[in-house]
Amino acid sequence: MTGLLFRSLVLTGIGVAAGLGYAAAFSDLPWVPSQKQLDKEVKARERQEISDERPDIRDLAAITLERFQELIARGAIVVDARGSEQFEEAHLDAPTIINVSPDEEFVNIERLGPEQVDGPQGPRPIVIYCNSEDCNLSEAVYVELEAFYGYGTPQDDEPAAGAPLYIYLPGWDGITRAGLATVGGEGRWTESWELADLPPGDSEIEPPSSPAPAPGDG
Amino acid sequence: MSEIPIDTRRATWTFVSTLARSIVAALFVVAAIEKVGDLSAFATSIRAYSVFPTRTTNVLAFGVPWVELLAAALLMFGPWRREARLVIGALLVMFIALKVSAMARGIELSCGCVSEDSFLAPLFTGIWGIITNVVLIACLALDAFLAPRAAALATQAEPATT
Repeated sequence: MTGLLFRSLVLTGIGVAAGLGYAAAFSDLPWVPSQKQLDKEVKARERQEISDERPDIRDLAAITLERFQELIARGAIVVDARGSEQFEEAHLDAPTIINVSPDEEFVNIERLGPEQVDGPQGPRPIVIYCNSEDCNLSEAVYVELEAFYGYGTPQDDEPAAGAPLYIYLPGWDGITRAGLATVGGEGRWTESWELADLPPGDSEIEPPSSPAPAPGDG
Repeated sequence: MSEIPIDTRRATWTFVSTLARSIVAALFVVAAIEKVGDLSAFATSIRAYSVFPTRTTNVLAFGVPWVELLAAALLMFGPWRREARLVIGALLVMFIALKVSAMARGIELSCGCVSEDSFLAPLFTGIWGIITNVVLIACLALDAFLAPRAAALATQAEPATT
């Protein structure tokens, strides 16, 4: 019995040694996890909790590719919720697109405040995307915008409070699959967006009855 | 009452024990290869259990798949089959304990046994993770029970045939 236990321990030791040898030779993973990695995992768990607690967001805010393209053509602000490295490498070629990553402290989210988003025609719609249907970065940005600025998705017969929020769930995978134009580098911000030029038939971005003051109008 | 011939019994027991250990070995090999293929994901899933000290989790992620791989190979092809059975049995008991402890603490997670995209993932999701591991322990026990008896029958049969 003692011999059996001893040989089992030897077997385990050989396995562990092989694993450590393999890792030393072929893996980039450090032997002790970095604080950055641990922080990232904590955030990922928090985002998962948000997804679990708010399953309604996907049902409410998801839009099709056609609707996504239509909203972009009509001047929507596109928010890429992936990491900044991925964003700079390539992102959707849209007239107005910024990078707001939950993994990087939501940098740039202040650019989506009411003062920046409201125009003479009312608040601009915001469409968020991340990597794919499996990622939940878009939902994290959605929840942040909802909590900070009170934005939301318009319901049937009920307009959104503030900027209307949408999520393109297929994300970057869907964008590349659909062959939409992409570009690298920094984001872009186009101030002018004219409802007059927009195609008719979308009640969700109708101008409000009393136009909101333009930025800088006091 | 006619007794089942020794050769038939031996062949049946050998077949059943080989099948039982093949199932365990195959699952362990697939699981180990998937873990080695994405060590970072396996390390993250170990940390999600919040049982082991964080500093040790990457080293555990390096070691465990290779112990699984080596033990599975020895279980299938020997030598040290009994030792491999013991190591795999201990790993399975540890996996069950971790899963139960996570469930008791209300932590809902994929077990980390295989990748979430794997075709084997449903076998290890939620309560199925525990059921699968119990079935694998039963397979090991069946192999441990039948394999030596089949070998003993082989030695009994040998003098009769010579």
